[in-house]
Amino acid sequence: MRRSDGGRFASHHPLVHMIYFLTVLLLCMFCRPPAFQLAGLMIGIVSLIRLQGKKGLLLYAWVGIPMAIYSLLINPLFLHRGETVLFSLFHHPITLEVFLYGGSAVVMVVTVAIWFGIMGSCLSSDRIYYLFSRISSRLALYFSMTLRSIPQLKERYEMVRQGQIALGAHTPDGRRKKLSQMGKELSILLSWSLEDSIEVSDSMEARGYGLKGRTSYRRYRMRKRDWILAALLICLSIPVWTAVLSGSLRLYFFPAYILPEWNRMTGCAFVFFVCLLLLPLAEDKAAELKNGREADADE
Amino acid sequence: MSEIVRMEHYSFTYAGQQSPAIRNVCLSVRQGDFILLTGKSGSGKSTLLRQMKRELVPAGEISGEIRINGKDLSEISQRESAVTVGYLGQNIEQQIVAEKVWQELVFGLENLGWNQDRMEKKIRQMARLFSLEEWMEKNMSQLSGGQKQRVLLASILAMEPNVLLLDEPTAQLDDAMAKEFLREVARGNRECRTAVLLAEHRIRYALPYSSRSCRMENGRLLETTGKKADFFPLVRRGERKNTQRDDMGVVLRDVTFFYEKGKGVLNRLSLRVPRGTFLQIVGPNGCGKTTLLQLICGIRKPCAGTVECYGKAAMVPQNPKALFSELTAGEELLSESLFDELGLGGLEQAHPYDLSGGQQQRLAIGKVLETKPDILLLDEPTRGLDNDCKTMLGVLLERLAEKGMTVLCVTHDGEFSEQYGTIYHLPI
Repeated sequence: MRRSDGGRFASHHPLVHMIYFLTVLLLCMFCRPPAFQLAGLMIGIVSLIRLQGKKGLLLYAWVGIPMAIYSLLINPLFLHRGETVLFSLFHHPITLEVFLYGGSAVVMVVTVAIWFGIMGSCLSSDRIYYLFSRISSRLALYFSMTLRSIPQLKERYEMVRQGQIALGAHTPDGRRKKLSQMGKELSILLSWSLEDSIEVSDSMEARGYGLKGRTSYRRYRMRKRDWILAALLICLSIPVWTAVLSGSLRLYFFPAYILPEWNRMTGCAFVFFVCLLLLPLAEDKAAELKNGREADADE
Repeated sequence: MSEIVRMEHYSFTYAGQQSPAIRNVCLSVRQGDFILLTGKSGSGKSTLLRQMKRELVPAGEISGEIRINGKDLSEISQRESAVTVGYLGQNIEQQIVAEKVWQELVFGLENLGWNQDRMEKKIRQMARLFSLEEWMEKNMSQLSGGQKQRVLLASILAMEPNVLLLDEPTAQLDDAMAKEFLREVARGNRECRTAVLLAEHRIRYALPYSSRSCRMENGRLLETTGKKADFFPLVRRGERKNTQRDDMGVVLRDVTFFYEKGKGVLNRLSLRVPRGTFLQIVGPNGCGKTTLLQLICGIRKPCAGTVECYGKAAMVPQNPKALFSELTAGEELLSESLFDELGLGGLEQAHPYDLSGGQQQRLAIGKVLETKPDILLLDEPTRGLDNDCKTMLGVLLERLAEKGMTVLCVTHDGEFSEQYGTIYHLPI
């Protein structure tokens, strides 16, 4: 069953989330050996299905398929670097390296997109609000006001449009008439919204907006488990970062495809990388086991 | 008990106008008071309330004295004003600032610079007092009008004002929501020791909570002693006539409509409305009243069944602002005879947004009437109207029906539907 609350991991402090997802996203971009990429993609897919259901994956297929078409079908026709020639097409060599290069890029983009999606499920708008409010309470307020205004504008436009239909102003004939009718509707919407915004700002001022020393309400407190997770993920990411920064994970596509060697450092980095990616799943699963049968019945 | 607001021989004239909107008012509001302010629309209730809130005083000329907590209004800082005087008006949407309920609740407290502990305590207290615990995480847009207004009330009372000014706070709510909201106000008055000054048309619901009531008449404030004296039920004007004709206006056959499969809003509804009928469609929330109107005027198409309209149908939307596109009322409504008929004479030059709620409503009706419909549809037309305006509207709609127009009106207003037109209970 799909979890609407996002599970236990999602209930962590937003700062921890931010550190976690920033780390994962960056590492998914920098760790390009196939083992790393495959791990990032597979664990990402499993985590995403857990959070958003299988339907959530469709969106990423829409990102991935056009990119795959471009980099696996079109790009090889024009890019002829690399030394392993597979075959010739119209006297142009088609090389293995170009395919590998394109495939790696597609996997990387899709993986990053998927982890972004997972981040979106964990960082709800009030968590982002909180992160903003750490920077400036006014910035956070603007963020919240913007989020409120979008559905409001939509709703209002619908009301204006229905009002016009009800008046009989919607005549289907003529593109010019249609355009001018739409202009009229937008102008009604605009004057309505502007008129409203005067009242909104009156009401804000009446409630003390603009006074000096505005504070911001913090909804989240770092608890013990937040500190533990933060420490854990920093520990796990250090070996991976070391490997990345030392260049041990570097791979070459051109002129020939050269993978980094498996040695103690890269092996260690891989294990820690996988652990890092598994953290949310592991924590949710552990919490479920702890909750015992209740959770089992749910699943 | 300490005096919070004191007005002495106070008069106010709007900029650019000759006659004062407030005349020689003397008023004293003490801690814990619950003062009900009645009067027709346009009698100066809103203007009077706005005089007490520094940020909201309209442009104009003032004579006399007004003191808040013993200080002259002009000497009061914004901070003091924000802390001392809370204000809640009738336009719910325009008072909402934030996306989430909890953000709305802390907005004022953040402005005042409260610290975290104090905010937390206050939020918890307000959530308990007004039963908001379950909504804290919700978006404001998910709440109903009454719920939004309750959150706003809580967020203003959280700032611990000495006096709360309420300017027709229930104008956009239906009867049941209004009743509940006024009960919450009374609770705030009792628990938070906040004085309340309430301008309200729904006298019936507000009277039991009030400790005193006053009436505004042409800018004058009259203290009324007997509580019952202020209670005017809606009385119908004119004789009831049967205006139905023999031919049909609207015929619905087995109409079914749903937004989502399995969640039927209208289920095989059949209805025959003869021409010249004035039908009041009533029923609980969510039974599909508004949807029915939208089906008749063609905004939505039925999922099954047929809707037949004999003639042109036009609808007056719930919010008249959705219709106004011109700069003056005169441009919105071209025929002069209609202006007088709707009781809007003399307002041709006014901007539609400057009209009162009742006037806007009538202007919108006029705008729809100008398209010469045979079937007139109205969605909650009595929202925010006082009894005079309701009577005017009822008489107007009956006259239109008499002329052969089919009038279908969706309403929550029990009094209005009893006095005018024929009631039709929409089955669930």
